[in-house]
Amino acid sequence: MRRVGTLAAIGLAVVVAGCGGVAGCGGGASADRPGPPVLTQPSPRGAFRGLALDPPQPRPTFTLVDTDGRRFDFAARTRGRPTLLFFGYTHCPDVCPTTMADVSTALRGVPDRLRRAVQVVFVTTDPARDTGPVLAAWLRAFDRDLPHRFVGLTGTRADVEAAQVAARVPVAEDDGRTHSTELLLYGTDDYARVVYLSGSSPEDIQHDLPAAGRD
Amino acid sequence: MNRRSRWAWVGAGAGAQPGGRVHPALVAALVAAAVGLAGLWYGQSAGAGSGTGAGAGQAADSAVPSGPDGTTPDADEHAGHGGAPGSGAGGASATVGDISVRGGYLREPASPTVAAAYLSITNTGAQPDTLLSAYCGAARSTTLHDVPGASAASLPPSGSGSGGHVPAGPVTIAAGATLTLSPGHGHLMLTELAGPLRLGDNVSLLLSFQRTGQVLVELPVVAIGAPAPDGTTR
Repeated sequence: MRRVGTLAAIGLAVVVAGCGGVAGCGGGASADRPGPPVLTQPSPRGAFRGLALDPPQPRPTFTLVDTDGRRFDFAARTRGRPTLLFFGYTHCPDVCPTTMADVSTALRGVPDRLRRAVQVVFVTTDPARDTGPVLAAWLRAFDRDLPHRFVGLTGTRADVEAAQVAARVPVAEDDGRTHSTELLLYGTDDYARVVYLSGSSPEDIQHDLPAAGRD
Repeated sequence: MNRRSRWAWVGAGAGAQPGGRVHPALVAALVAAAVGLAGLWYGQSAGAGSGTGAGAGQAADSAVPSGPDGTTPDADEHAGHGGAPGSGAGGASATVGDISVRGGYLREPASPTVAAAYLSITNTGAQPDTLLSAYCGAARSTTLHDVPGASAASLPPSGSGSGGHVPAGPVTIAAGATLTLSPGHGHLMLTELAGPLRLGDNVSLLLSFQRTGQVLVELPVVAIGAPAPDGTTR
């Protein structure tokens, strides 16, 4: 049956060309944005497997709306807890789901006490499409079987952009499609000393979580 | 559809002998007819991988997708399941002419609307070949994104990284070269999914090349968080 359908579909083959139907695919680089002090050399030997942040970045302050429509004050709600923060969008096919799946895998690999301490926060860069229910359903694919739900945050575009500025990541462009791939890990001391880009592995995150969770 | 109705017709013919005694010659004729029809069907399905391509005639017998270990499944298995040759432990694979696809899989999406597929394409020939288009039956549109080296614009900026999604034009694969799409390093983006994709599903992907014509590969759906089937990428 599928083969018959495939035969019929040959005539409908979508040409891989140019911008296709994707809006605003320019994907401008973010190198010229006022950038955070991100250094991409490996962190000091044995400390982290992610990329070292030097100087460490303080836990940002911003307020957005969670998937239940309630205000969520990031600094107040996550203070003193190891926190993984990522900016992305649910229509993202590659980097965002891969990153969240890596987070999920890493959390499954750490001791239960640490797993219960870590909070994961995903902020959409596409607030127009990522409503609370959309975000919640998407995050459930990653946090099922984990002790805590991943927190999904949205808001006005201005508020979402302010959150990115506060977290010192490049502000997303192109309706949120071109966005930072930084996964920031804040420790119990409310500083991020390590960040992961899309080349990181779940093992890298798992390795570094205990250091961030140290009291 | 065609396959099922043909088998039903053959079965009805065999069962239509009321006396219980069936002449051996009739049995032989029916078996021959069945084999012939199966062969006909199989020929058509194999042709699906190349039927409308430039090399339609010469590729008809080389369009059989091979297994993960490079072996070719026999015709009975292929026709019997009509399913997913080469979608086992090493990911989906297929070879047509000089184009060899390996390690193909589709990641179970968290989104109800978009998904990503990954694979490696090797051009074993002496001439470059160009991937012109991709079609996946599970989605309304299939586009190449963020292909490494396809153009300067598709390369992620250095430093803090970017999750940009840059559609790539036709991608030329040099003689002897391999194009690998892996998480963070290019993907086939499926948009407007026809329905949920679940672990255990297999999805047809049709790749069209300028020289080789069309290559059909059946991608297994790999669970969220599971390693890539070939173990070389996440």
